[in-house]
Amino acid sequence: METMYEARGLKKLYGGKPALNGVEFAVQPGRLVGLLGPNGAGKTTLLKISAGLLTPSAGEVRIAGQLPGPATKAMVSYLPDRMALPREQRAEDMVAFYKDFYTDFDGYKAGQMLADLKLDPRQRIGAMSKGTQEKLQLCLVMSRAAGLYLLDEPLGGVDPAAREYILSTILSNYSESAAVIISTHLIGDIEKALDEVIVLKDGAVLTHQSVDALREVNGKSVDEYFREVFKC
Amino acid sequence: MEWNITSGRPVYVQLVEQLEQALAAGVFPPGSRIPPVRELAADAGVNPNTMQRALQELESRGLLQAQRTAGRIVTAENGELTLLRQKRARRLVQDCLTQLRGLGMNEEEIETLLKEVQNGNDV
Amino acid sequence: MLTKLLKHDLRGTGRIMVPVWVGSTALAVLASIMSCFYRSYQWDDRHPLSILTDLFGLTAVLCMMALLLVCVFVCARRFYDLLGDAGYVYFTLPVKPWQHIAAKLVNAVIWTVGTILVMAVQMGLMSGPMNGAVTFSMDFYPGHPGWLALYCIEAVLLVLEGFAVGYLTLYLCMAIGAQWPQHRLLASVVTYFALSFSGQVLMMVTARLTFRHLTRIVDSVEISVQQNPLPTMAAAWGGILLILAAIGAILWAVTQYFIGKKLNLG
Repeated sequence: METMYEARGLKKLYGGKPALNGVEFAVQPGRLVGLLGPNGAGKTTLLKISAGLLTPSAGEVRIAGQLPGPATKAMVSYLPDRMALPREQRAEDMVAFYKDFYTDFDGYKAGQMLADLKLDPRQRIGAMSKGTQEKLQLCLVMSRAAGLYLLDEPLGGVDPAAREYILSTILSNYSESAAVIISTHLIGDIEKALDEVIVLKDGAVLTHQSVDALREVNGKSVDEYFREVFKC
Repeated sequence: MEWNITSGRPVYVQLVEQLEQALAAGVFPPGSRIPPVRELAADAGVNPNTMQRALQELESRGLLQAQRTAGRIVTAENGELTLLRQKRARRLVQDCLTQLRGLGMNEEEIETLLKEVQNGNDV
Repeated sequence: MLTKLLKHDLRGTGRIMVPVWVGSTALAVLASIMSCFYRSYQWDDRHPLSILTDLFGLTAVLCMMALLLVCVFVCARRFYDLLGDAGYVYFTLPVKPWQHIAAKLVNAVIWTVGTILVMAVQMGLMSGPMNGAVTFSMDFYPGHPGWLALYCIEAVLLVLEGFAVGYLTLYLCMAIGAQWPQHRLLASVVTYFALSFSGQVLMMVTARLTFRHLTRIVDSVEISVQQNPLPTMAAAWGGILLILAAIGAILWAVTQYFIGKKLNLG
């Protein structure tokens, strides 16, 4: 199977300051990859470029061999790091919206997930708590049978019980033909669910290896390794 | 089954150990089918590829058998399992004895203690 | 994809505009009824009901005028929001940039035309009993009804194109303004003024340069009008339509460039 995701020489400058400074890595289908790094390392920027919301200053991102565009957007499911859903819509309206635009959207699964997370489909998004809004966004994103999932901090704004559910959903959604890139701070929760981790530092890839290899070589968890590398 | 994956050691190694333990304890009886990889992985909160590797290792140790279309079953013959059980039991006893000796007990005291606890008399 | 987007936009805009239309028209109806009573009962000017009638009348007229402003604001804001947080949903859809522009533009023109019609209805309601229909100056009517039809078509197209170009200008300013995500609103407003200013300068310069040619064109048009008034006027309007279309196309193309190749959501 061809490489699902590839970043080549990716650079992004914001007024002269580089948010990304030559990022290179590839992700194969069937892999769950963690994108780790301190604040400002460029994780969100990288995911936004991959989702087609930012244009790189140099280099390129290729998804299934293609540059970001409508064709890749049909196979990429992106969870932003912010609340992007319109406040006046109801949860069920958004489910209908996603179903309308994405052929790989599973409305039944979405309904199940909403029920599991105790979300009222008739509730308006503006009336939901922040945590509930985040859960809704995640339901929508995970109800798609995408080839590439880009999840920007999926665990950050939700309670620990929901975090477990989310992780378990990501794992049970697993498909050999799909790749998942998860950017997160909460490494401890998630590292055993990951195949590989990519650690970003100052806009470039510090290391890209499998979780077990990292554990074996360093004799510690990825979380502990991370804390050591980025000690203040 | 209960999973307890800790942080310091490779996940794969821990999965193999804990699966062996489960098999030895009869959590999955001989000849029975074990849940599919994805389910086990989601249950344990680990990566499916890692779980797959662990299951393949158990296969190569003869504890599991892969079936062409229907997942994996626990080997029916008890040879491997018995061996496994014996190995584990031995290790447990060894650990126990080491610790008891570390408490300063001699061999006679240890034997008496063992008999008492076995007969249900807690000291 | 385009129809899906449009359906969504129409519904979203309608959710705001329809209640506004209904409320404003209800007010116009009320004002109209009250002024009927005013005429029949001949209240003295200091009678409280007379004052109320005037108040209602004034409010209804103001509401009617505000309708257009509300419509433009609501429709323009839909595009503006596209380049904000909502963009995280919209620009991840498998939709080409031109389809986003088309959906928002068609939605805006449809609702603007609707609002004008509603305003006309309200105007009719409020001035109803007083005067008759607005008389249509039929200077160019004489002769073939075909010409009338052509003029009507051209007039309608002119109105539609006018609205379209108006909105496209706003869209372009917002698309350029979005290049500074931290100060998007300010940048869009500044771009608007910069664009209008340069537009005016451009027109002045072109007028200067082509002055001689222009006077020649005007002379020949005058002769043509005297000789064949009907085709000339139709052609003149046609010419304006083409120029507007060209301007619209340029505005669209540049907007598409900015939200396509240069998208940088904040």
